[in-house]
Amino acid sequence: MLNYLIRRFVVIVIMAFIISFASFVLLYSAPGGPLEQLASLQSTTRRPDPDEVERIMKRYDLDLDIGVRFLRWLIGHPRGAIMINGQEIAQNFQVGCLKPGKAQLVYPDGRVEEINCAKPVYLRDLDGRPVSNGVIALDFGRSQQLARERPVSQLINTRLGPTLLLMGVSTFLAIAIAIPIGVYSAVRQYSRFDYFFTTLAFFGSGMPTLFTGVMGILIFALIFKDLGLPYLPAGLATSNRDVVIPLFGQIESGSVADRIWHLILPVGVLTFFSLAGWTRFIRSSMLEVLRQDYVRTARAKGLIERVVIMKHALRNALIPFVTLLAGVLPTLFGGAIITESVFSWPGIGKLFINSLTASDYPVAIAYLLISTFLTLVGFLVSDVLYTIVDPRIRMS
Amino acid sequence: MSSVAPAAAKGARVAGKANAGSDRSDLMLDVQGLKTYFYTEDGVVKAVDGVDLKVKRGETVGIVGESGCGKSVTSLSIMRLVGAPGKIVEGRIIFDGTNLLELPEKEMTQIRGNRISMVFQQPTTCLNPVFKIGDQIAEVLNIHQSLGKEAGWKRAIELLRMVGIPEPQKRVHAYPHEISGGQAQRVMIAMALACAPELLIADEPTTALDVTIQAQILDLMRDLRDKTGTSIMLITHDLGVIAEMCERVVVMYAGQVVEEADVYTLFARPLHPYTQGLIGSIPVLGKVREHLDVIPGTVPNLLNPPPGCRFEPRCQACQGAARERCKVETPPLREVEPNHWVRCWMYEK
Repeated sequence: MLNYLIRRFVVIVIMAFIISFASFVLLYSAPGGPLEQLASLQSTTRRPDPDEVERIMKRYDLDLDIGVRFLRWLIGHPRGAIMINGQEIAQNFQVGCLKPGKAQLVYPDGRVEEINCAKPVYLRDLDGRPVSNGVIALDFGRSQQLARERPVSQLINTRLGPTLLLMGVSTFLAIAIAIPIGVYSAVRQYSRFDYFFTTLAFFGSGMPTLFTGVMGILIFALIFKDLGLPYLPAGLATSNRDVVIPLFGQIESGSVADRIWHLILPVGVLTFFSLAGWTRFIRSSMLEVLRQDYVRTARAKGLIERVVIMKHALRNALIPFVTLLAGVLPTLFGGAIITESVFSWPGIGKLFINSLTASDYPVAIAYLLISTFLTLVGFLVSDVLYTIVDPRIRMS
Repeated sequence: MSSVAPAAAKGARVAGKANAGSDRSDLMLDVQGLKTYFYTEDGVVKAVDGVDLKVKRGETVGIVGESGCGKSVTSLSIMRLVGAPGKIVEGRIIFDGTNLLELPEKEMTQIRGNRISMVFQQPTTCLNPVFKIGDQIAEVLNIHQSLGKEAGWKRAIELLRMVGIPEPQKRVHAYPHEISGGQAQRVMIAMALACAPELLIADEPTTALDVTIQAQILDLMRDLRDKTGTSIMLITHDLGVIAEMCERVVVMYAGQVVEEADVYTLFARPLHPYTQGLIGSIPVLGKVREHLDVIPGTVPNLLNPPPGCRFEPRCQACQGAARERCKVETPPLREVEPNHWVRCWMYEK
């Protein structure tokens, strides 16, 4: 068991390394970034100032080769000239290029070498440059655009609470509602109940949260307010000041009631959307189990139908359900990008989409890395859970 | 068996009804005109179409027939476990003087597993994979005898020992996937006999097992029957099993009973052409043959059965004018000799 877990954990670390490298390279190869922003800002008034460009490149390591950049992000090294016994080693090791172009190097012994870089960067040029401690030490660096120079971990910390609340509540509700509906739909297959919820489920999964969210705001926030009915807020996680809701009373800003009041609409939208998938899954899993011989045995024993369904069938139907739970872990952290954006929910999903549009690479990459890690851990958790819920599966 | 007393008490509970006619008291089960149809999208499948069946106390009755002849549906109908789209449309199932088809579902659950038990064909898939076998046996005792977990497990160990499972106190903790098919069938039998039922329905209990295990399971069932006096309804397509176990045999064909007799008469002098064909198709040990004898043709489609005798399209018994009647008119089940019933026009007197 311990052996198995250690082995799996090693694999997770390797996978996380490979995936983070890939996403690091991809993200930096994508168009955009601080330099292009600078260029677009300045093109209307004046040409980009070459000194300003160089300053930004140095500040954000954009002059360094991608591998070196990755290393500095990962472990916080190299940080400058490497000295051994007062002697600098590898002093001619080029780690980047500040200005593309051609240059001639003339060595003291008269040798001449041509290189494809107008301003090469050497290890010693990294002396004194700000650098993080590396993600290995859980330092994700500092934000470049959204909140300049604030640590990324701080940004994530402030957003984590609202996201966990939103995703936790909506996921819990979706599962809690989906299990009874799915079970009942399977037991009464092709009944009116089944048809109704099957249709509703397809409707729910077919409607993007962008649409249901905006419609929700339109109906429950705007129209209800105009009609003088108890309305819901159009966005945010708390009110800025106390509000009086018709037929309900006053809600104090920042109180528990205020938080719940703000949760209702986004949670409703998310639950409605994910309910469909869960219900369909439970229903089909249950239908599969109900055909099994041991369900007939349970009936032949003289068990009442409720026990046959809730004990003998459901217990088996929930085994594949465990795999799905693994997928929940990263979304609990990652939030719902669209829903959070629609409702201006101060969560991690919104932070991520903002970081992408602003080319705030350290923030975006921290999000990707944490999601990756949680996905991998989720798989491990589901595998371990499998061995607990299904006696036929043993770890090896 | 230590729990014969509750079984006797159960008998007493319905004694008023059972003793209404003194000659019926020795009749455990009396199925009359049972019709179970399946309402499929293609039409109505008459899986069981007017079956009569009697099982006396302590008697072992064999039901034999090809796959799809309605044997299993008959047994599931007796348990009232026919699932949608199947439905019992007609008939009476008198068990110990009570018509099971008129009982509310709640009372029926008190009979299932308690007074009538069932053993199925695929023992390994009939046990719930996520519960220990001890739990599964104790569950029956819990619902019918209100035995607690500890007492139930103790009794489960006793039952496992009774059905010949080695090291029962260890095996009781096993999960179904950890035991062999033969052992799983022993567990099923232990579960079925846990409450000392008056009737045991065994639906092809040995079909899925190896030949040597088959013999062991049959021995076990015979032993337990002799000890407990349980009536057994044994469903099989294996005439060898019938010859070994049963006192009386019912031959079914396409949802109907075609012949019924005691086992010696049936093997010595089968009257229905179908039964003759069945017995004729048993390979004889030591006799070398180029081809095995078979009954030509296949079981008729029960969606659209032949209008007359259901066996007529495959029958080779008679030709000519006599055959015309078979094509249009269904023969009734008739007692042609004492206790020998046949559904065939040839024996009309």
